[in-house]
Amino acid sequence: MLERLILLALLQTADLTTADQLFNTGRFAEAEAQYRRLVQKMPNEPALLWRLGACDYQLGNFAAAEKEFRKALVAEPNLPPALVGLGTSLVALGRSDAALPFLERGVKLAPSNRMARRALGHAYVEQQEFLKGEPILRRLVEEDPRDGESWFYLGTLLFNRHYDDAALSALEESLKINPANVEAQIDRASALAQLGRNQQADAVFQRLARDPKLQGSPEFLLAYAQFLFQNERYDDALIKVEAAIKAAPKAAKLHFWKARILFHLDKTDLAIPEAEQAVALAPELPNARNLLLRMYRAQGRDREAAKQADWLLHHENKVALGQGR
Amino acid sequence: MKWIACLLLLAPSSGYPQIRFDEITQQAGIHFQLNNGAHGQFHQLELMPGGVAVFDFDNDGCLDIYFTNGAALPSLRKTGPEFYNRLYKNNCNLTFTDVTEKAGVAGDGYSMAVATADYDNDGYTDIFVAGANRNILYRNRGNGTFEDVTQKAGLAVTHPKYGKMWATSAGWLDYNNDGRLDLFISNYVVWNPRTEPHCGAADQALYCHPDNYQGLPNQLFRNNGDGTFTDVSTRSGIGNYIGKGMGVAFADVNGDGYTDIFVANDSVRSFLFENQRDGTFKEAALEYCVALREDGSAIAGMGVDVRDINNDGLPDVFVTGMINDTFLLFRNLGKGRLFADETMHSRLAVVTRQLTGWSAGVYDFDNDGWKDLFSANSHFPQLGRYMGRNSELPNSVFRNLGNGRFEDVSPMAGTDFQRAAMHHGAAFGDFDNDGKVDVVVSVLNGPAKLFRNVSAGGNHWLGVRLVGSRNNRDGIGAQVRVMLPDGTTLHNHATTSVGYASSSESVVHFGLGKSDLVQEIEVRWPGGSTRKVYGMKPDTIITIREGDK
Repeated sequence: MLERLILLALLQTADLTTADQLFNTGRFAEAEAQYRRLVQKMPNEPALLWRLGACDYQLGNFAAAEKEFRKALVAEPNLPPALVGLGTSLVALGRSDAALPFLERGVKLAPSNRMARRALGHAYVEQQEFLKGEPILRRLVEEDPRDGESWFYLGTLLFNRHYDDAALSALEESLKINPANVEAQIDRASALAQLGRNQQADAVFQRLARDPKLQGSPEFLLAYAQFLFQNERYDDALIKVEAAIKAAPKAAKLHFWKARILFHLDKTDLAIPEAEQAVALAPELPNARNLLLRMYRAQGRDREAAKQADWLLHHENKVALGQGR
Repeated sequence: MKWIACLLLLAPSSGYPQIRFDEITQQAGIHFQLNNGAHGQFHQLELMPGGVAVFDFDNDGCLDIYFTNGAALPSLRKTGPEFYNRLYKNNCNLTFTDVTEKAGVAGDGYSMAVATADYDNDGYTDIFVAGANRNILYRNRGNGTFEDVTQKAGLAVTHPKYGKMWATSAGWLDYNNDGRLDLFISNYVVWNPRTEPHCGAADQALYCHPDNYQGLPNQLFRNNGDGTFTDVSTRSGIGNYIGKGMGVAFADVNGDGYTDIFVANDSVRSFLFENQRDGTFKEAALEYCVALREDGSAIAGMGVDVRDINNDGLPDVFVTGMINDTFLLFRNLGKGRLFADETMHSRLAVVTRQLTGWSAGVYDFDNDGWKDLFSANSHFPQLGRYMGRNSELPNSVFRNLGNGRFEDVSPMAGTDFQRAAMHHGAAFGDFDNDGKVDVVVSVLNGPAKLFRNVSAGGNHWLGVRLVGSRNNRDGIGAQVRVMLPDGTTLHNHATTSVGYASSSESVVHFGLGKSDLVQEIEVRWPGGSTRKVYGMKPDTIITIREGDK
């Protein structure tokens, strides 16, 4: 222990100070190189390892960041910045389920750390843990109404839970602070549509559609298609969903929506293969199966319909018996 | 296409009379308050009560009201008058008198729902009260008092696996066409205050989602015709399906002359028990495509009414649900045992997405010949915190435009109609015999509301009171077809099972639009015999007796 303290003290020299300055001024690549040199001298020093991880995170190298934060935690299991860093890296890597225990521990150890709480709130959003995420994010925006990121996460959380009125307010707060947040704009447009404020929604969707970056965004195109579908503009919806499929051909959800639109266009023959593809891509989801059931029944293909009905029955029975969805 | 064809005949969509309701509860002398017994423990039971019945218990030609009520928790005891169920006698002048004590119907235990009908065919309407662990059958003695015959009737049964169960709705039907009304009970979830799950954070308890509870089977009791019932839940197949039963409605959905049963389930698929005509049922909601929303999601089904909405002679299905579920409307295609999901095309998807609807009814409130939709609304308590607004909601009325679409006319339905509250139960009937269907609504921990239908427009109407002889006295299950001189045909059927936990009048109501003559009324009794009446003047309640020439 004494040896470690002495070594650390020796590192409190120009090298570490410089690296910290580079980091604090956003020069992450240079900071990363500097920290890496220091880590070579003290490979197990948690204070250096989490800084290195933070640089990797800022550079978008989330897998590398995860590794460094984990190393830091081996050396010091309850180091809050490493816990939070690991958690945020995992969220960025799409593994928010794995992130939660680290973030929860980080917030417990450093309850006043807003970044940690925000990251935890974000992870709850990703995991659709509404009841856990809502109070954290609500508190963050109450403490600092200028925290646009927390407003956005709160808006997303509420939107995913379909509290569209409240979601719209939160998203609009977020956009006041960060008007360029495209995800918030898409969710806002969808919330307006859900609330039946179609003219406003249409205007926002049309504006967003002119953004070249979004013209290949499956998320945006699907949201737009859903809005058009809701307003029975099936031909327009089909164009959007087909563009989305071009961008993400393996997304089951998109094939389901294409099938649904085609079904409403009375093109059941074309809708069936799309729905079948959606089932093939995501056999665990009920959406396309129910649509297929309906279409097979309408076409008198009762044996194929029965197969889908059996699957849906089994799926629903689990829920009725209290075994969850 | 059928919607459009019918539209040409009635064509009501321009210059239509506005549906309007005045709330007359206070002046009517109704002071009922539904008390759910909540005291901060978040028992699931507290969310669910509020059944109401509209029926004429004393045969004076004026509709009376029965309200169910909660009890103390967790004891499930009616520890005081604040928990009594209440019977209000209509004084035939739109005022009511509380006759609960005299009638002996204050109830016992935690009551949820009510179903009324004349189960013993003695000419007096009886009351079945469904509740948590305790159901009661009150036989109407015909002298203004009732007798608890639950035990004697063989209805005080415990399930071999689940013991006493929690019922949320019930209804009367004649499933085997033997002329006697049988009893269907919709059961919710396994509930025990000692083992109830706790949800939410330690410092902020919440009511749990139904997914946290195991569902229950429903029950069917066959009427033996001697004042007793036989539990045929297993034998009939009804008891083989586990759901989370809420509202129940009856209709012959496939035209085979036998009554089928629709059950709205909470957060699991709906049930459609197809009558196999041999005393058994097949659960066929998936086959009929009425089990789930079009996108494969189960909704938190609440109230249901199964009636012919588009005047094609086939009963359609209307189900209320929770916020973002959207209420569901399924159109009976009449061939291939199949329904089409009309939720979106009807415009109900958009106008109901932000609502949570409990009881519901399909009635022609403006008498234009097209049945409209009513829902008693309120979100679950506490949701307001997340939604950024109160859980109380105004009720909704959706006008049938006659072209397959509905318009939310609630904002124009009068000042009283705009008042938000925790509306739960709702039952329908014409309290002042003016031909306009009125509504009584229960309010969770608040005063009930009696809405008098004051819609203008002068449309004509007809009420058909059925009196069975070989069939059940109320004519429940009978289908009524009304033909107007211009060729328009209107359809409805006799049922008291409407909405959630509630029971409505058995008189079959028709709005006739501007037609001042009814050319023909045809009644098809359960079992297939028919009776026709010709050349009736409208704006009256006609009594049609089975077997009369």
